[in-house]
Formats: sequence, C-alpha cells, structure tokens
Amino acid sequence: MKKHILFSIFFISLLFSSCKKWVDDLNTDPNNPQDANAATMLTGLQLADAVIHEGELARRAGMWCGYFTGQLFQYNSYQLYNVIANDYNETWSLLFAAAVKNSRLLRQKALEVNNRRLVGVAQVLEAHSLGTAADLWGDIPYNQVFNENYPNPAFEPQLKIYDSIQVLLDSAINNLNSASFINFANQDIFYQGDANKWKQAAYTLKARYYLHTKKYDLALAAAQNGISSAANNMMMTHIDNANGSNLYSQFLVDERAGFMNAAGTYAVSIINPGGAKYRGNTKTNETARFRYLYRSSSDINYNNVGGAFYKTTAYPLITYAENLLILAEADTRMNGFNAGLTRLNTYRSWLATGGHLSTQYAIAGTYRYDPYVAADFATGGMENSNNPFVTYPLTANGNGTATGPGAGNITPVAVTSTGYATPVYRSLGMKLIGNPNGDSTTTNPNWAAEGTATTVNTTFSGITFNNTIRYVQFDINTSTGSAFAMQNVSLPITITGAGSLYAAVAYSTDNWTTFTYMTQNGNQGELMSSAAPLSASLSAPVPLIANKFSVRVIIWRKFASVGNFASANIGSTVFTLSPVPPVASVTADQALLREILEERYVSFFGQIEGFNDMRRTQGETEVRVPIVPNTGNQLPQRFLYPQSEIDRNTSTPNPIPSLFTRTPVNQ
Amino acid sequence: MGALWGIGFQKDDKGGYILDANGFPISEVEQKVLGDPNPDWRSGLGLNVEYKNFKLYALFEHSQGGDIVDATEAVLLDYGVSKATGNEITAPANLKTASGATIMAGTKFRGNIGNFGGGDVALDQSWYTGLGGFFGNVLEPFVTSATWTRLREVTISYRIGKKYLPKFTGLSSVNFELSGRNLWLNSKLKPIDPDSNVEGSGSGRGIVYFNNPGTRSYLFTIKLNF
Repeated sequence: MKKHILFSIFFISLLFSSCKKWVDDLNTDPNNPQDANAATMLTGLQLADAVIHEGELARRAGMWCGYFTGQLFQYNSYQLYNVIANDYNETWSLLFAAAVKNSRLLRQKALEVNNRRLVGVAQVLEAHSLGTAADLWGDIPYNQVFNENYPNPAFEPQLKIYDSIQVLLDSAINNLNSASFINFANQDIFYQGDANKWKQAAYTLKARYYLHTKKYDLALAAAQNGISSAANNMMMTHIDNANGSNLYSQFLVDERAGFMNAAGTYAVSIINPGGAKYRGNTKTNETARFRYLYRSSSDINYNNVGGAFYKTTAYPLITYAENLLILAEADTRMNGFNAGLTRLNTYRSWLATGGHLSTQYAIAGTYRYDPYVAADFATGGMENSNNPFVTYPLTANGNGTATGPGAGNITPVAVTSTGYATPVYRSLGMKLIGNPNGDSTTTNPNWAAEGTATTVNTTFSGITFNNTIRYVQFDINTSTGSAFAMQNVSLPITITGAGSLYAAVAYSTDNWTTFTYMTQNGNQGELMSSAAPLSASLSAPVPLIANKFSVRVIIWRKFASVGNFASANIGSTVFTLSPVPPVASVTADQALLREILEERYVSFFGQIEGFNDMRRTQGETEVRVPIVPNTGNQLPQRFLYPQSEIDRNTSTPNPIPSLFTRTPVNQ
Repeated sequence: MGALWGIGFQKDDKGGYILDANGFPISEVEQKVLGDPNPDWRSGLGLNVEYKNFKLYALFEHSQGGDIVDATEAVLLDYGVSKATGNEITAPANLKTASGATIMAGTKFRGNIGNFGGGDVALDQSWYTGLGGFFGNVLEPFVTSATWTRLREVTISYRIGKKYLPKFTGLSSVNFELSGRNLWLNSKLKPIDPDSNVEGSGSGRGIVYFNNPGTRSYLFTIKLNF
C-alpha cells in the first residue's frame, strides 16, 4: 500500500511537472505575437497611416469635394449627405487605435532603447494621422487618449490640436537630427530609414497644417525645408496581390464595383479636354493627366497599367508636388503676384517634365505646361477672362454644351427634370396660352407639354384668331428656384399666312407682372412676312438676375378678327446664361491665386487635401474652386463623431455638431 | 430583453416631422431606441373535442405587443423590387421629389405619393434609394407591431375499434390522424412570420432581414395498436 502511495505521489508529481511543461506556452500563439520591439512595430504603424489616407476617408472626402460620385447603396447616401454617426466608427477607430495608440507605444519603446530617430518617425506619422483627424472632425481627444486615468478623454479645441501637432513635428525634427539611432531601414516601408527624407516630410507636414490654420507666413517658412524632389515623396507602394494592391483598386475592382465613379463631377469637367469647363489653354494641355487619372469621362483610372489608381500604382501621402504648391499659394498670399507666379511656374516646369505621371501616361505631346506670364492673369488674359457669359444653345432638354470663351465659368445648377438627368439649364417647354375662348388649337400637337422635351426650333400652324392675341411662352428656370443671370437672347421668328399678321417678342422675370418688349418696334409689333423674318434679341447692359426668365412670342392679326395663319417658326434660339454671381474678371492677384488653388485641386485628386482646401477657401468667392453641393445648398463641413465614441466617451459633445457646422478653423 | 436601436427622423415638439425644403423628413444622426422587441404577453388556447370515434385538437397562440423592424422591405424598396416601387402613377399635381426635382402634373412616374405633413410629395427612386430605403439608414418607418395570432396546430383523428377489425390481425385499434402545423397566421407584417429570428437561435429578436419563413407542415398518420 505504502509503495502504491509513493508510486502514486511520484506519478502525480511527474504528471504535474510534465503538464506544466506542456501547457506552459499553450496560451502563446507563435503566429500572433503579443508584443514587438519598436522597429518591428513601425511597419504596422505605416500601414495604418496609409490606410487612413488612402482608404475610406479619402473616398468620402472625395465625394464631398467634386472628385467622385457615390452611386450605389451606402455610397449613394454619402453622396447625398445622408450620413449618421454610425458611419464613422471604423475610420475613427483606425485613426485612434491603429495609428495614435501604436505610435505612442512605439515611441515609448523606441525611447527605452534610445532610438531617437525612430521616435521622430513615429511622431511624424502620429502628426500626420492626428492632423487628418483634426482636419475632418475639428475638436478631437488628444492628450488624454490611451491614458487609463482618463476613461472619458476630453475633446480639445481644433486650433489647440494644430498647435500641439506643430510642437510634435518640431520634436520629431529634433529627434530625426539625433545621432543616436538603431537602424530600422528594413522595417521602414516609406523611406527605408532615411532620416533626411523623414525630416523633409515633417517640414512639408508642418507647412500643410500652417496652411490649414491660414498662417501662410509660417507655411511658407516651413515649406522651404520641405520635400525637395519627387524621389523624396512619402508614397505607399503597392503590389499585385489581393491585400497589397492600391486601395482604390481594391475597393472599386475587388470589393465594391460600381459603388463610386466620377460621373458628372466638377473635377472631371475641368480636367477632361472634352469637358464643359476644360481648364486647358494654349499653354496648358491636360490630356495626359486626364488619361492618367480617368479611365473615361465618368470613371477613375483603376484598370489600366500605370493609371493613377491601378492596383500596382503607389499612392501619394506627402509629396514634392504638395510642397511646391504650398510654396506657390503661401508666397502669393504673403508676397504678392510676382513671387507667386515664379512659384507656380516652378511647379508647372516640374509638370512639364511629366510630373507625377507614370511612364505609360507621360507621352510627349499629350501634356504641356508652359510658363505663364503676368499678362495671362491681367484682365482679358487667358487665365482671367472678362467674358464671363457663355453662349448656351437651348435645345430639347437644355442638354446643350457650353461653348465659347469663358465656357468654364458656368456652374450649372440643378435641373428641372422627372428623371435623373445631368444638371443643366432647361426649358420648361412651350405651350399655347392666352386662349380664353377655347379655340380649337389649344391642344395643337406641335407644342409639347410643359416639362417634356421640346426644341426651340418649333413650327406651329393653324391658330385661329378669335379676336384675341395669341402667344407662345417658354420659361427657363432652375429646379431649385435659385437665381441665374441672363445676358443675351436672340430669337428669330418667321410667320407666313394671309392677312396682316403681326408679331412681337417680350420677356418677363416676374411672371408677367411687368414685361419688356424685345423687338425693335416695341409694343407696336412688326408686320410679318417670310421675306422679312423678325429677329428679337435682348442684350442687357447689366445681366438680368432672375429666378425665372419667361419669353413670349405674341402674334395677332391686325385687321381681321377671325382667321388663321399658315405657319410660324421660331428659329435657333440662343440664350446666354450664367450662374449667379456671374464670374466677372478679377484682379491679377486673384486670378493667379485662383489658378494656384485650381492646380492644387487637380494635383490632389483622390486625396483628402482636396476636401480640406474646399472648406478652407470657401469664403474666398473670387478665387476658390467653385464646387457646388451635391444636394441642397450647403457644402459639408466635417465628418460626424462616431456612434462608438458617443456611446462610450461621455466627453463627446452632445449633441454632436452637424455635418454643416464649420470646424473652428474655418469659421 | 433588449431594445431596437437605430436611426429615426427629426421631429418637432408635437411629434411632426421636421421637413426639408422639398417637404421630406430629415434624418437624425445619432441612434436611439426605436422600439421594444419583447411582447407584452403571450398565450395559448388549446381545444380538445371528442365525438364518437372522432377527435379534434386545435391550438391557437397569440403574442401581444412588441415591435419588429422590417428591414427586408427597406432593402427591397432600395433595390426597387418591392411591390410598392412597382407602382406607376400619374401625378395629379406638380410634385416635388426627394432630390428636389418637380414632377409635372399629368406626368407618369414610378413610385408613390406620400405626405409627411407638408403636402403631397412624390416618392420616387430618389426617395427610395435615399432616406426612404435601407441604405438611407433610417429604419424608424419600418418598425411595426409584432402582434400575431396563429393557429399553431390542428389535428383530426378517427379511431377504428377492435370489433371492426379482423381478428387474425391481432389489432386492438387503428387510428387515422391528419394534422397540420402553422396553418393560419394573422399579423401586420406580411408575409413574414414575426416570430422568426434573423439570428436563428441567437438574441437578435425583432428584426426581419430576409428571414426564412416559418414552416408549414401537414402530417397524415396511421397508428396500429396491437
């Protein structure tokens, strides 16, 4: 028995010791390490930084600044500003958990081993991500995040965040200058451990956030030390692999085909050489850039090798181009025209070498960026048109194309339509009115019903005159009822028939409470014959501003009360329209700044910076890129605080600011 | 337990919708409680009738109260494949759409006419692919009463006694039984069974999102008793 007990004890102890050995590392998954050293953490942090700037946030910002159009399901809702707090849970969590938390942990670990330069790198990345968070959300938690003493981290004012980011970047530059570091070249997928490139990126970032806070003098100073060549760009490189490819390509090809494209966007209308508002001129040819960015006039280029969003195309995070454009804008604002023009031409000369185009798209003859001279921005110069009105042929649905000098100045407002048409001005059609006697021709089939397609080239015949003046009327308005400007109308009319037919043309902007004759003989009208067509035209000395412009062609028979005429024809009618306020010529300084802002808008295509610029410059009506709201009459100003933060952090503002509340820096 | 949690429309103090310029309601952005998926009470009523060799058994069940959100309908509206989006109607007057366009009187359009308190408006594609459908996020209008009454089971049986059965079989009796389960359901939410659960046996009650309908079964049984 004793022996048995002893044996048992021995066996049990053997069992225990063995068990311990077996289960010791049972909870340790060698494939999912629980900890890593600072350098190893870097790659993950960089990946988070890239996903933040290249992924969902960039797509959503792009839909709100005229780069993209959301088409399906959730993206249709984003497009129409139908967003809820829940829509922002993932992106917020990516920013704070994947970027900021990891950065702070990495910094701590790097400090422990005195890897100063790596601390600097993490600071640059943290500044990049937090800066974007401040850009998009305004006030955000900053100092108290990831600190167990603060379960409900306070939201700090946006301007204070920008200040903190500048301090963070100064400290980063300091650390990057340090001689003490442990090589992290293998983990650094952006710059392979090149401290000098990191430093340049830090300066460009400083300039970017000074620009956002409208401290243009400081932006100018910081950008002097910024990224000095395209080779020093901070780029997220991509490979041909399901998870390693360009995020736009992943989204639009692999995951959510058809959710988003570029149909009808403001950006494509100015970049596409066939677009209504093409920005090219004799010194500028955007063909190559258009082909690089777009696969068609309505979609972005994710499917052609070398295209801007192709699966293997690297995505720009912080670039030489941005640095040059910060210099151009800040110098113009601080030191005036000549300084700014030189800067802009520096950028254009870089574009003229092919710029950011890939080799597939840098085809000689398809791009041209000759230097501008002062005269180009003077009144009447190619970048400062003094002819703000465009010739606009009104056709069936008003689907004409704007042509002629200054066509780029038209910003169409929404359309009156029962379908899903593109926004253009539209005629409401023509119909016979003023027929109180119930004449037989009331339903003349030659006249289309209101709201349906009609041409202005209209023939009508067989109207009986029962002692009454007859007229046709057509109205031009915008579906939103917003005002537009009208400068020129020309309207040729021919009428043939027996007897003395008279015609006159009049217009009204107040539903015929008051009206003005457009024909030369005023309200006398003119005797009509096929040999002498009547031509009515209006050339307002100052543009007529109206919500509705209504024209009547009035016909009557002078000497007989009953009778009819053979036919009447209104020839090609040309209206010259413009949105309100009409784009008039501006000062040379403004014209230059306008061109620089437009160049920024085009150069940052697909980046969050386009949305940032839109909000920053929205008060500068003469120079801003004239992006119009996708719906309604307000531009979105921010992203919503996420539901996850509302539910868990009692410091979240209550109620959360609306989409249309400007962030403090833009107030 | 639990609550239906989601997005509603903005309302004024009197409970009316706050409308946009086109006469359509406006989405809230923060989630709130939209309903309670739990019934107030449930009951069953069983019925047993025997007459001679016939036997009838019926079981009625009733669930009173509680809310359910019909997300299936919301999705179908968004895709334009719900019956409601198949309507083609002629506008009796000039109607605004959610996108701000005007449908002229006398013009045909696909959709419906709605009124959110600011006069008639046209509920067309722009409404259903926007706030009026699933991807517009607002599920409040799709919350309905989950009250239901059903005939859970009916059984009719007939028994043949020993004296009618040949002796050599050794049978003491034979029973013929016809029964049906889930034969009748009365609920506001048609044609989906509000008692179904999107998460199967999980806790996601009160949500209809392409749930399988409840099964209906018929059984014919012959029982031989020796």
